[in-house]
Amino acid sequence: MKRVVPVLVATILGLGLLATFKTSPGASTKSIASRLPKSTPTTAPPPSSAQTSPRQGSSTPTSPQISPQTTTPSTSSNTRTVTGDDEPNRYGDVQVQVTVRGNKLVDVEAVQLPTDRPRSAEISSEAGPILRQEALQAGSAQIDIVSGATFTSESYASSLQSALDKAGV
Amino acid sequence: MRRVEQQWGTAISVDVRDDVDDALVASLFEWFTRVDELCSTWRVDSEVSRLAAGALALADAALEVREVLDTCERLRRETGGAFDVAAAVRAPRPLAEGQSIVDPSGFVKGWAVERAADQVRRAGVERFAIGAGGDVRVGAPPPGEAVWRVGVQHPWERDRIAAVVGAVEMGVATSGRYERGDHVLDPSTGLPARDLMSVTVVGPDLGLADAYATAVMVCGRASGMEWLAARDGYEAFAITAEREVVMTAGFDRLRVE
Repeated sequence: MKRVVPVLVATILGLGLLATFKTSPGASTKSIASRLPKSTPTTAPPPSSAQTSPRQGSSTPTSPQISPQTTTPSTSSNTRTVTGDDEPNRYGDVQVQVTVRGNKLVDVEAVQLPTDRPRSAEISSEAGPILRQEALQAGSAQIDIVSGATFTSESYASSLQSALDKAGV
Repeated sequence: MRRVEQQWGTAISVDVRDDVDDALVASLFEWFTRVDELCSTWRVDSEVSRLAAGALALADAALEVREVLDTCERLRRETGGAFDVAAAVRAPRPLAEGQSIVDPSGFVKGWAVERAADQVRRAGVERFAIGAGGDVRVGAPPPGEAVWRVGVQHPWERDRIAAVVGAVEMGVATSGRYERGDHVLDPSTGLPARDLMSVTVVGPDLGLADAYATAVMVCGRASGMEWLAARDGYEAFAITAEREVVMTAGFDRLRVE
């Protein structure tokens, strides 16, 4: 089964940036790269290679060459954003945007999500698709009953469920 | 007929839309009382508490208690240890205030409501919704409706819902840490599970859904949800501590606006 994941991995490996990439849960709510399996590091270029300037909007995926031996300190003025090529896959087109500050990868974003639900990213796993939405909705739709964490008798009094129970009796 | 009673330190509501005898509804609440007497970890004299204290032999315990503990052991293996009645003592940490050596409450609530639903169906009732402290079991929908509309509680806004499930003949169980604090423990560390704020699991058996929701809370948004997605017939909706949502595609298909 073709998946979104290998396409993104291929795109990111093409950018040569995945060697030590890690995301913490709060880092980027839009990034689906944190769902990727760990990959083996790509071979580092020799220290004498200069960092290649990324070409924005180019027709082939490009990236700065990241050398672990490079000790150039990162500065905020050294921030570059690279947009990878459109990669068609089973779900639609996926395009990855990578932000690099100095020689550090600071963000990977999928700028074109392969879905018709604008706020969901579909990521398939062995077991079946899992959807991830960016934001929790807060609705007040008509409902019959509430499922939630076990409320106490005290908190029940001011709960949504008690309002439903009062209305229904 | 709809009736609500305070039991188990929470509220239990029974909503039956077919004609029913008062006596049937009364017997459901008697069942819930019996479950409390047998399984409550808050009562020193419950069978579960006495078993934990060594004051009662398992062979002498009620059939229901042995059934609960047998099923919980099966669930411990099925969840790879994430659901564990002995979560508080599995890791070498001292027992904290309010914790028990044997705590099946992540399963008992759902199981007890599932048994109540059996009782209701044996009496010939088809249209019902039973909710106990946020675990819900529904049968056939109300007259004129296609589904029971079950709202998933929003963890931060008490008068809001995060999603609506169109439910028929299914259980909807939620495990979360916004009501009673960080009470879901990771058995491997003895520490509270904090990756997720709540997990809602739907499926044919509310007891299993209840235990699965706890297991997903423990394992978190990635491996927990992947594990659940592989359970045949069960779907899930998780809310992260950062107010994001992760759900199975099957859960998304059950949602109604």
